[in-house]
Amino acid sequence: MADLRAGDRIAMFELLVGAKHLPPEDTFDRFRRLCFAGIPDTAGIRQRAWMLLLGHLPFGDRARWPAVLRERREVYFGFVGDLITPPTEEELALCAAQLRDESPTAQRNPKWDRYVEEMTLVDQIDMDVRRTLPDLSFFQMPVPPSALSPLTVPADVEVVDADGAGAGDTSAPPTHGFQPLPGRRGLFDRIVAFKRDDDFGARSRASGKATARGTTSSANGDGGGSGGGGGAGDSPRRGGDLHWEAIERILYIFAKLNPGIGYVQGMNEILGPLYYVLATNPAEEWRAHAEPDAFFLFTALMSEFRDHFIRHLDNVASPRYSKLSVPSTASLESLSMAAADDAEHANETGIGESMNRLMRKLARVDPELHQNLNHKRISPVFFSFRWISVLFTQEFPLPDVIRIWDAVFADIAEDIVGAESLQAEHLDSSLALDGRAGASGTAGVDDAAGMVLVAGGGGRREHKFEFVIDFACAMMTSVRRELLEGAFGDNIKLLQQYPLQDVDALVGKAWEYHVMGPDQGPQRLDFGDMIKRSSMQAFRRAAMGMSSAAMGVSSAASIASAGFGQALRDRGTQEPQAEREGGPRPVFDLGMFTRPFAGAKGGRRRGMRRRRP
Amino acid sequence: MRGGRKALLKVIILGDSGVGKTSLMNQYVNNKFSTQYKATIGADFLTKEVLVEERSVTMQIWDTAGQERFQSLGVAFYRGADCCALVYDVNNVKSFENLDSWRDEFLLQANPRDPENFPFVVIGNKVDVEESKRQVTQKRAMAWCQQKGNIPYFETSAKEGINVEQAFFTIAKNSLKQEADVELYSDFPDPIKIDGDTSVAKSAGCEC
Ligand SMILES: Nc1nc2c(ncn2[C@@H]2O[C@H](COP(=O)(O)OP(=O)(O)OP(=O)(O)O)[C@@H](O)[C@H]2O)c(=O)[nH]1
Ligand SMILES: [Mg+2]
Repeated sequence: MADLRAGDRIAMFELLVGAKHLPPEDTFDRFRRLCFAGIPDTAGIRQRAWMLLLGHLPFGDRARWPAVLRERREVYFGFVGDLITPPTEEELALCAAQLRDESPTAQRNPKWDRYVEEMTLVDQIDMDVRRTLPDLSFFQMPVPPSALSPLTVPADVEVVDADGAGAGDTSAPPTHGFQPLPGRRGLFDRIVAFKRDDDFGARSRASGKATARGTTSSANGDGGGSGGGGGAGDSPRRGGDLHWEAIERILYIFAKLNPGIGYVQGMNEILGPLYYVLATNPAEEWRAHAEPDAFFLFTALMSEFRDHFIRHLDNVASPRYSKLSVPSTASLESLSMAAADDAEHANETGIGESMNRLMRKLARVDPELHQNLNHKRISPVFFSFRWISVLFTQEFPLPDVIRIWDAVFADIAEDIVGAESLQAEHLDSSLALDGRAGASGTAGVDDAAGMVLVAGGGGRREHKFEFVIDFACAMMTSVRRELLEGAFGDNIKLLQQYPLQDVDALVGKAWEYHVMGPDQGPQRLDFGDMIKRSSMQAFRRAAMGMSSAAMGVSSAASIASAGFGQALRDRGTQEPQAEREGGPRPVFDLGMFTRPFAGAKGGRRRGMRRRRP
Repeated sequence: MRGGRKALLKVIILGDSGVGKTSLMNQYVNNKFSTQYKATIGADFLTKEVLVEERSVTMQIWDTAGQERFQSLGVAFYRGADCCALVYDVNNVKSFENLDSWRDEFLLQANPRDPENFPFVVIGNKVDVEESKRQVTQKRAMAWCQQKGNIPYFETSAKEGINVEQAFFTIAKNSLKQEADVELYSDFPDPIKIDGDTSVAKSAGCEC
């Protein structure tokens, strides 16, 4: 039997994300297709898969991976060195003066104002990261110490020999000895200085107060956070960072490097799962670099979605139900005073337009529901703003979010990596300051450190991140009966507190909409088109939460194997047999890869996620 | 139709990020406080049934996001509001100073018929925090409220559940009163305000 079993599927993934050499032709699309159906939770696969989908690692040029990873990490350490600084004498003096002054408004000096503005940014980030994924204890835990990164190396450790720790994974970068970055907690010290005290108590736990207080007494007590590591801890080692502090640094550095975007609430929700996936990798040589790697993945994601975070592109006046079904727009226009002005400059990329796309899609796939909601005046802003802007992170538990993102990333890989740049060139262009940064004219350039800028507007296809729209649409149609029956208030509550659903079924439904293509324009000859005929049903079976693992996996396999070659051959000729229950499934072409599957057993696991009760 | 209608009040909660809007709303609706609320993205929606002067009223409360970036959403949320609660943190003077712009922004975007008399309520939250941290005195806050047309003022703690019920009861009462006033002066049914379905005369032409 030619079915791809769970173990084989994992093995295949392991090859795709780990093999030293792959034949270049059409492998990336095969890989994307597999990711759509869900990346295995097996250790270490997803993180590399995401790196590939988001263009962090060049899919085709594996020899460069170690160098790429190392270079980028060093770039990040450079940012930490340059941008994360302890409070200056001047800042401390300002704070002290402010403390003495009983009425803060009495006399303001411009320096203080500038300082306050800067610290307001920091404070906002600080407030939000503390509350990232609060259902998990993970972010409150210390970052395990590792000598592989200057961000995590205990301060008392001597330079470590290069290959001491890393073993196993051949694609892991060679490790280097690192001196700890002494100032990496400087940002937190600044917050302590600014805020005077700390409602949460967390800052004082591991932070700058110690420097003032002297450190002798705490040599034993503070090690609690870091746990491992040799050597008698001496003063600078005040326990490691907590995970939420690591993402705080990332967000601050991102905001500094991209002043046109800055920090917007919700960015922490997007960064959280990225960081989580990287930082829970059991392999130390990867885990130790979760912070720099997450920074780059986050930057890549923001290059796709940055327009959702830019206020002047919001164009929220215009989200509405499509003209198609609402000829009399007057009543809707009246919902938004600013409509007249904004509509003329309707922005094609901001969050408002994305919500419009959702409504257009809904009008197409479920006109009745569309019209019903319209009559009840349920504006898409009331629910889909959050869905779309923070990529469903608020609506689903983390494992589901991660599963949804597998598909979202597989889709946007087309924008980010593109079909034509599967080889090496791609990488440099995203690292360097390239011309695309100016495309939408909003990303600023920081002269000092303008290395990693979000380059927006350079999407290769017209309808970026279409799958996000498709998925949001599936969320709506999946509760259509309740929506049709409910009144305004019930509807909003339902959509805002989205009921638990089988997330694979949702992805499957979204996939159905996805292969329909975007609302207008020429038929795309793309990924969706290619495989729609051959494996649409197979995908749905796979995605619709098969109770039997074998079934799910064999369906996934047929997606994989019905891939380009097969699909192209079948296109337009006949319904491929794979669609029929029990029909013979195409054989997976083992010759594609450098190693046979038989030799790469990855342990048997169920291929699809469990169904929710 | 209007007579038998169940009263539905739309309430908007505004104020800087972190002043405790979400906490207040959850304290009021669910009698709960948690330090785990995430930052609000967009706006959250909750409802609560209340009895005001022997009338059963459904409050639809929109808890909005505080960060400035989200203010462009106001257009969608403010319109048709019956009452607006302006929240600040008594331990954060900046959040108090921003009340002016929150109020202006609301009036601009909601465009109520009678902006002079639109019912606001001001809430100074987090009074449970130790006195030494307090940055805005009651006197100063009340002076501001006075100056803006005698806005009712409450000092609350979402954490301890202090004064929350009272503040929201006043919100309900004043929005009802406002509604009554409007009814008094208009002999034509208000097209925007309450039951969305019935009001959209213009959408009658909607086919497909
Ligand atoms: N001590 C104290 N803390 C409070 C009180 N109300 C809220 N907080 C805390 O203040 C922080 C912010 O509370 P939220 O309710 O999320 O603030 P918000 O106004 O909704 O913030 P945004 O959603 O960002 O606009 C949280 O840590 C709360 O626990 C209070 O009455 N007393
Ligand atoms: Mg809130």
